[in-house]
Amino acid sequence: MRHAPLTAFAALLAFAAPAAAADLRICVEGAYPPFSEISPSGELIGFDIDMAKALCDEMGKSCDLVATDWDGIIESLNTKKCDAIIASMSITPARMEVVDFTNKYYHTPGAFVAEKGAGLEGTPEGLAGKRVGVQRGTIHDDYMVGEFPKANLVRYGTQEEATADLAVGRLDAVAADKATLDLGFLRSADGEGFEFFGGDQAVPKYHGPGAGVAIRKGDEELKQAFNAAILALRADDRYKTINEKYFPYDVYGAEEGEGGSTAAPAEEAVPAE
Amino acid sequence: MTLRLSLSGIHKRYGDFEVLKGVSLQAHSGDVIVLIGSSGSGKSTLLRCCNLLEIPEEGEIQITGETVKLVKSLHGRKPGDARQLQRLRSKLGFVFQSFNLWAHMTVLENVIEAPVHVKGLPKREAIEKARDLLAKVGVVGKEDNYPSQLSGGQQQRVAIARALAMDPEAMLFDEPTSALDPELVGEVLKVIRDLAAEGRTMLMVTHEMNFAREVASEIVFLHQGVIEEQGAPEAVFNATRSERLKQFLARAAQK
Amino acid sequence: MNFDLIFRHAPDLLRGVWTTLWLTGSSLAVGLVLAVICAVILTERIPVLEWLVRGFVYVFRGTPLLVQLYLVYYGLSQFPEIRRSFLWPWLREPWFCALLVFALNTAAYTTEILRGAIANLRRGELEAAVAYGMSPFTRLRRIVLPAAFRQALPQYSNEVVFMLHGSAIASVITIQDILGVGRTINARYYVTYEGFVSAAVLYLAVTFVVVAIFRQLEKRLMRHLAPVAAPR
Repeated sequence: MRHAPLTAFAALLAFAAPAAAADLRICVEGAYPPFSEISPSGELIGFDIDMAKALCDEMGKSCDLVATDWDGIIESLNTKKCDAIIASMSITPARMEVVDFTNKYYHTPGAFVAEKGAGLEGTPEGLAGKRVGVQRGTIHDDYMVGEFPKANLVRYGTQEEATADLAVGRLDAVAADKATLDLGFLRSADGEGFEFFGGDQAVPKYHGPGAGVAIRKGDEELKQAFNAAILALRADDRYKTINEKYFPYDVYGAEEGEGGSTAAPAEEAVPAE
Repeated sequence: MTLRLSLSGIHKRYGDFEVLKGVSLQAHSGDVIVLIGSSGSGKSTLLRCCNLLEIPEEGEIQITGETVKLVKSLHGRKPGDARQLQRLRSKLGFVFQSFNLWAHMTVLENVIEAPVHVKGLPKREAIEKARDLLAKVGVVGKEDNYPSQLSGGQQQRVAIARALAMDPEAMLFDEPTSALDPELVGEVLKVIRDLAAEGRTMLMVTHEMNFAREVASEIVFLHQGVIEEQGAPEAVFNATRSERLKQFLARAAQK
Repeated sequence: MNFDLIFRHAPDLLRGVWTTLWLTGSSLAVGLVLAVICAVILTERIPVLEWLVRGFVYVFRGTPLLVQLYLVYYGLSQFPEIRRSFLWPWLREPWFCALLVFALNTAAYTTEILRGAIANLRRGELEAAVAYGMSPFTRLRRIVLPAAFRQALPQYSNEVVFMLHGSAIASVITIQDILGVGRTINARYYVTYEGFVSAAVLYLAVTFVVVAIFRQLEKRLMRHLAPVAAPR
């Protein structure tokens, strides 16, 4: 064991937590509209939340949803505070070193937003010296570090904080998932006066094949169960119903290959650092 | 014989309690006036009125012939001219019962503080003078010590040097030996005796009757806020007229 | 523990130390000046101002630092009037918001520390200053504040350490201080401990230095309380 004392300590904490009454505990986020957010009445709502509930239903398991900060959400999984993460987590090679993923349950590209008429270009030169906000530890964070080294990168704990600072003028642009920018920001009151620029950002090395359910390494049984459940939701109207509740277009992206039961990130992909 | 200090018709009250009930007193140059009386007689309050540490509700105070300006306030009177008062106070040296040296300053810093920061004396000059004064009061080689590192007697002698450093027109001593261990009283009294011998104008509150008899040019006996008896030491001590003073002296002698 | 990762990011971590140091240092400096003014207002019981200071101290000691920071950073920016005002070029900067909040926060605590120290000064020493004809300002400058600062030093050194540690919340408004860099390392490499352990070690080291500096300062300034030479 590489860090035995700390792992033991973390396990102790997990053990000390009240025993879960449910079959599964699922880490979700809560500040990533419209995928997950806290409603004014304090409930978790959003695409990820509905998807989690539907998947649990399909698997015939009772689930507790645990609202967890994005920072540390993987640790929560690996220290058994939950059994799976359904939080719009993109499947990337770097993450696959620490967790396993199911097949994707949606796939949307990355994108940039800025104030209308700002005249920014979504190129490394165009964003040089500009203040660009990202959510810390996302594929968009990696993408900016890797491809836009001259941009002035500003990291936030949540996506909502990033768009809030864009709205008040503290940032020149935000790089994030296109669907969350569109539905969570541009179509909200705050997003009035802002627009996409630079087109879809979909570089396989960074953006990967989509968002999957993350589970602990080697939890093969759970992975297969989730994969089967995703296919089942896709097969009838259930996926479509949830999709249409939030998005005017299909967020699933291209269909998986016929035999595609495992997530297959691009072979040539290099760990994003 | 110039008039250094003059109090006339001084009344001082704390709430309903009247500590001083119309006291008048004058100190000319070279006078050594010793105030005696039992505790609560008002002698310390009278001394503190001299430099306005206590502000009397009625009466007039002159320092070196200049009347201290006082104006009415909500609860009596307050200084009418802060600058005048600061200037006049700086002409009087006050020696406290509990020394009241500034604890965060060394002995030397204590002595040069007021000359430099009130009178504007150049520091170098103030230091030179301070060393002379410290030698005079017999505290040598302690310039860089802090007050807490000195004995009570040494501290009081430094406090006297601090007062002398302002070249005061008159010196006020408020029970200068009451807070000292008996064996240290002598060294302080010796310094004060020397000052009296130099012809300095002094007003002193003390319980040391023998010392009073020896150095005073005038004894003032206060009782319940009024001057009960006043005069040259021989007259006051040897031909006491007041019954109360007789009782007071008898009690003092028993101690 | 991936030490290689930590060493690779040593320059970032050192920049984080620098950010923490200047942010905490400037906040403390501004806060101390404010605190002296506020403590004097309280001690001298200056009408109206006294109540303003009391209110300020009450609010800033009565609410969590994090809430204050959120209110200034995310709260104020919600008002278009503020975004149009001359303040906005300052308030839009995270470092300014952090400095403002930290300075006001430490000023509130330090005001109380100084007020207490002034109240505890020996009355006789102040009376001596009056008796020697010092003006109120000279008294303050030469007697009251130097004595109060010395008396307050042990408590103030605690406040400095609290502020140093409290400054870690600057990372929630995007500032890359020690903790900010630590969080970024954790988030970008999906590791649990490396970032936080590095941050903890760096905070420990900085705290150690700060405490050592105050020890020296106390030794120098508190000499008057140490009866080295035997009396008489």
